Amino acid sequence: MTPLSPEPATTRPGWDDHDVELLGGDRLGPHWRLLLRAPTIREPFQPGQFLNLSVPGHVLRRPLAPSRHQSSEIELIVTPFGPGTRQLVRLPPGTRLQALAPLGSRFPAPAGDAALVSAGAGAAPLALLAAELLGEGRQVHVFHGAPAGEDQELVEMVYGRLGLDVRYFSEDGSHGLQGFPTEGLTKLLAGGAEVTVYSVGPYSLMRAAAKATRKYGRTGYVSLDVHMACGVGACLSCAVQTRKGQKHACIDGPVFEMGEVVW
Amino acid sequence: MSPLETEFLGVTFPNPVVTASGTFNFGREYAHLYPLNKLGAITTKGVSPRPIMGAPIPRITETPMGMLNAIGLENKGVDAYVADELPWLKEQGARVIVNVFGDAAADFAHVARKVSPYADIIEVNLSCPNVHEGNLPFAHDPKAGAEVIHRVKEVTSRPVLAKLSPNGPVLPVAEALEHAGVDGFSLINTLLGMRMDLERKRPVLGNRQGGLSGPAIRPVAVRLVYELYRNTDRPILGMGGIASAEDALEFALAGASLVAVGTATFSNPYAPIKLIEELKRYLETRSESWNDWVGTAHTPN
Repeated sequence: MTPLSPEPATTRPGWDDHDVELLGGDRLGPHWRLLLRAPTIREPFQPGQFLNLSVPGHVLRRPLAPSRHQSSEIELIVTPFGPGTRQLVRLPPGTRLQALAPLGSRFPAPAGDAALVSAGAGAAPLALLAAELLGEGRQVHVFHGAPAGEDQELVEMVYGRLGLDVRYFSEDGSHGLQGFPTEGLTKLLAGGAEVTVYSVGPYSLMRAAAKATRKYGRTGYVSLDVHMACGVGACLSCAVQTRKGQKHACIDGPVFEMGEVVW
Repeated sequence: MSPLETEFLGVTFPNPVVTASGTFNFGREYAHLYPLNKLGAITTKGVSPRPIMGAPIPRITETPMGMLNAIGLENKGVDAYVADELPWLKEQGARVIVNVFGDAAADFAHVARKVSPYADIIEVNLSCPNVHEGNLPFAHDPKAGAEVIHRVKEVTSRPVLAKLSPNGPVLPVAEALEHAGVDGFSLINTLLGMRMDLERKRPVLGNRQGGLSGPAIRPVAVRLVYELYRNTDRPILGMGGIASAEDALEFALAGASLVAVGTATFSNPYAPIKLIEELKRYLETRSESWNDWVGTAHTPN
């Protein structure tokens, strides 16, 4: 005899597998901007949410957080890194792909204004957030970092078109300010700005942003990019250590409160 | 009767397609896509006596036509699953194969006893290390593996499948498990492998080595199912890179009565359901049944 389940009825997850069409891609320095037509993804992507995109000839999908979702068009920023992402940016327009979407959690709204700290393709989900925040009349400070000037086109594309004034930091000083974007954040926080901080980029950048945010007693959020397979909570690949125990980036995140993450 | 209906260890399956352990969790994540009772069965994630945190990240990386994983057997421990996931899964009307493991033979038995009320079949994962006997996996040691089967059989009336590892001596282990009373076999578990990160000049996976799965291992799996079928009269659940009807039928010819879909579910969460539909179409056009194919490669021309 099977005992009754003590578990309450769970809410039906909203994700499904969607047919999407690659409309085209533009090169933005070391990154690519890909446009997908996704007529069946009707709910707009919330900032921070992601899709898990198939790559022809590859076993695993690639999790990517959109930078824009307007009518049925989704914009992705892809940085070719391994065989899968290199293949993805070379696909001809018209290629049919599959996307599990929408997946994951969104960035919570700020208490007041916001400071965004990004590097590389981390600018994508933050640009989607920035568009939402600007629409609400909030002030948005943007600090973006790169080794040199290679991210200029990316920054112009995703942040510039929103009318945002981006403080660009290059490690070698060849473009914008010399240093790291967290230095800009620290200066802003030290000046007393009441902002909620959002950071997406390499682990070291997010950790530094979290440290500065904590130092000045502010709240902040990061989006953690952890290798994953299923994207929906089944494979348990994307473990994240938090102060509330072990979580999984795909379903408990990818957005986490900075202070919650064990850095 | 559906051409896919088949009986395996006394359990009637509407079709021979089951999910592979560790690729479908306990089914809840996919339950909104299709009714779980449409699958032949769900093999659960491995269940141990106590919670296990698992391996350091990265736990997964892609390889040519495959993937390596080292999840490190993360699970919430048997009590959590008996309290929620397993009763829920039975309520869905799904047939359930519960994958169990432990550090010692008594641990396997402890878990098997607790999950038995919810299990149609128990699958014993012998690929985990025998921590009390030199860390050699149970599946590599005929004597230790037999002890596990013996202890599990003592505490459950459910049929017991032993999941065999391709990294150990398959036939001698299978023979020892048969003597210990195992009811059937599932194979193959993943093949051990490693991938290097050229930037860090270190293995990619946090656990350094991991288990290779996906289409890359399919021929290895087909051969081992074929070899085992020649040497046992116990039924076989075959797996290793199965996605299409053709893949599944290769395993049937080699001797598998049931087949599992694993990595393909990561490529496409509808993969098990698509496979069932494809198999049905394939067999119906030929007026054949799944059972007609099982072990057929071994019959004289």
